[in-house]
Amino acid sequence: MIEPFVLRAALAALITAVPAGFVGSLMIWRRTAYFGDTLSHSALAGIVLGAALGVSPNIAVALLTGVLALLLIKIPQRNILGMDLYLLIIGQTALCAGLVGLAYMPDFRADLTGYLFGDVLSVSSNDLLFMAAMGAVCALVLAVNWKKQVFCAAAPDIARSEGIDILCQNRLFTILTALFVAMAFRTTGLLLVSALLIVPACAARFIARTPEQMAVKAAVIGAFCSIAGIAASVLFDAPAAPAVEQACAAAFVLCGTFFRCHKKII
Amino acid sequence: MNLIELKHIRFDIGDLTVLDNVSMTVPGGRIVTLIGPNGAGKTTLLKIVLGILNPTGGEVVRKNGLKIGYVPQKLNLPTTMPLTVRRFMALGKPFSADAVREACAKTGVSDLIDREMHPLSGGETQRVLLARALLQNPDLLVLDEPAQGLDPAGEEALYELIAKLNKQRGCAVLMVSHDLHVVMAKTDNVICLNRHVCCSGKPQEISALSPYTTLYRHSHDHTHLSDGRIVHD
Repeated sequence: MIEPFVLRAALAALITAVPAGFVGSLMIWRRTAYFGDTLSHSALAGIVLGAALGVSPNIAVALLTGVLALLLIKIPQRNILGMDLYLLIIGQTALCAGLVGLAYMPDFRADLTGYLFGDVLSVSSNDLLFMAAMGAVCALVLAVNWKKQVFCAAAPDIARSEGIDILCQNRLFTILTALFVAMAFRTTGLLLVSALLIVPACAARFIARTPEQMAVKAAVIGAFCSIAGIAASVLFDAPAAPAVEQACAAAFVLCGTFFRCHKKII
Repeated sequence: MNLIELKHIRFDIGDLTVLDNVSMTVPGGRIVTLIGPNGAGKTTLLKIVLGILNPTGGEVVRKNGLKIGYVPQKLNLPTTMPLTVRRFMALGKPFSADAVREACAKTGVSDLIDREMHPLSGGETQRVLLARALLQNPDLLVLDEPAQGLDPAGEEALYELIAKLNKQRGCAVLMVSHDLHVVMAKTDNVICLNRHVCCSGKPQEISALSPYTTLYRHSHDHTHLSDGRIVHD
């Protein structure tokens, strides 16, 4: 008999892993692999701010990552430092702002490790409901804009010349990532959101022939590894999110090896 | 009927003025070629025509519902995206398999259709890009140095194909080219660009003007008056 908390954890992991395959694929195609990191690192500041203002952490994180995402769009694409450095600086700053803020709130007894590295086994029914709602919005945005998003990631200039509103698609992607982070941080912990976004998508790159195949395979790999990680957590008492990451890394090595051996077939 | 009309376009990047007071038109059914040295702002001007860049000053008028096929100077596809030629063709609007095959046949890339985009050579990529532009059934083809990377036979075939499309379908062409002999033979209008329009007109007229002959030696032997007249030194 499976305990309800294990069932909730498995559901939460699946709700996170499936959109991660699509959002993560888009993220690496757009060459903004740091993007998820930057937004997720700001989640701690959101939690602290939420506690100070008496807002639920889920809502607070969603609002803060949303606002930050909208600010990130304002960074000009062409600048001396380049986007990746800006993203790294802002991500580190946001994380540390959260840590400093936490130190000044003696009454707020947060489980820091849980927030940083995830605590999927303690996901409540309310959390699950929130995640399902966020996941539904993500899925809707993705379903409506998928083709345009792929086009913009592949060849933005040509997309623009064929009448696609690039600016609008860039904004949508940014907001999509913010929604995803707000949904995922419970499961993966805010330091490991990136792992679930990037590693399965990179693994899928080795075994895909089209962008769609890659995203779907990334979702399947992510989902499988999430369940494997949670099983390891329940059976062997391993920390869940890090175990999920380890499973993803194993999948990456496996797919990479397969690719090297069967280059001519795929 | 003008497909594109640019009025007094200015484009700045920081303190640098890339384009200054550029006015030009692309009439329907005509071939217009931009020539000029590196850094003259040719690619920038094309991107303004396409709406990829917004000018700092001036006005761009496009004909309503204008369909454009664009061949960029450089295609910078992310290698992280698995993409066959067939799927590359289908980015954007969907087209029938027959239409895709026909476009690929026109530029001689039929046998590449199931290959990955990334390992293609420069010339092959160029042909695929042109096939993709043709597939849009464009009123205007915008080509940024379309012959780069092509072998001599391919280059000749390319310009012949462009001339044929222009004649048969009345498709207008705006291109950047350094192949002066081709420009002179196949173009209706030449525009000499060096941040501003140095001179423009029919090929025969242009080659008689001195800015054209000196442009590629990177010297600039004339001054521009505020009313657009040119005074030679």
